[in-house]
Amino acid sequence: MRRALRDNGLSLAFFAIFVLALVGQSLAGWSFNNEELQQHGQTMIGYLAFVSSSAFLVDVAENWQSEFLQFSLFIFGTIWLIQRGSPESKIPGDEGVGTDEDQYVGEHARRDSPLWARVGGARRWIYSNSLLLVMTTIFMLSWLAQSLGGVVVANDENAEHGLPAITWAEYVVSPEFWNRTLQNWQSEFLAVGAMVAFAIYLRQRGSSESKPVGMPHHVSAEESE
Amino acid sequence: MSHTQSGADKGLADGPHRVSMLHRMTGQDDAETVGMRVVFWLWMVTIVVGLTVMIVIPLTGR
Repeated sequence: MRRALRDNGLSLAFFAIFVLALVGQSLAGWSFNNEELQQHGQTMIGYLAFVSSSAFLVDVAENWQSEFLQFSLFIFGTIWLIQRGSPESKIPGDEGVGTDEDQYVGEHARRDSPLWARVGGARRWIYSNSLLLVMTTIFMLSWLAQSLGGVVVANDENAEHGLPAITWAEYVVSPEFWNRTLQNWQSEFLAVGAMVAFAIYLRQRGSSESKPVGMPHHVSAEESE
Repeated sequence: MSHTQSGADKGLADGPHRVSMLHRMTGQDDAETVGMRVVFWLWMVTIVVGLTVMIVIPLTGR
């Protein structure tokens, strides 16, 4: 058991802080929502009613979509784009999807390679792109969820102000939807770009996201292995 | 289909136990990989449930 925890500590630790942050968001959001209801002379709602409302879910979905977009773009971008000296990048000249030999697929597969890397056809193509396919699907569905929750919240506000309800198609071209979307995207792109560039010259001893401390700036992590 | 491919297919298909989808895709069958499979499915199920909730609830108008 202790060994299993050690071997999977990174994903388990992040799962734990994800749950804590989500619970914290729900409690703070519930309190904030009730403050607003009070200010408008409306009845406060219970915790369960809040966490199962579009008001809460749209905020969750809005952040999920931007995170999964960030990683989807990063996974795709690092196939074709290079940053010399960054441990987040392949080395210059290695742009592209690589040869079957490099990727250990088909006849170049190892005995312990995943089965779908050893077989050919659609299964190999799907498995070769499975990370990007799954991350992009989660991004698209989260973005859809944000739009569905957002239109419910927007129509609640419209009703309070005596304005007519809008359709989903009207909401997804509205300034509110794109304001919510782009304010998250810009911060994700900022963080990824800064990470790629900072890691050329800065180090974190012991982190897999960094080159070894003494590695020259122009050498990527891949070259140093 | 190459010799390696058919051998791989046969080896897993002939196994005495029913193997999972992920198991068949990755070909991993080691006690050490149990924890890896657990964390993979922990995250995957969490996200699928989360997405389902976030899509279905707004469709009910709540």
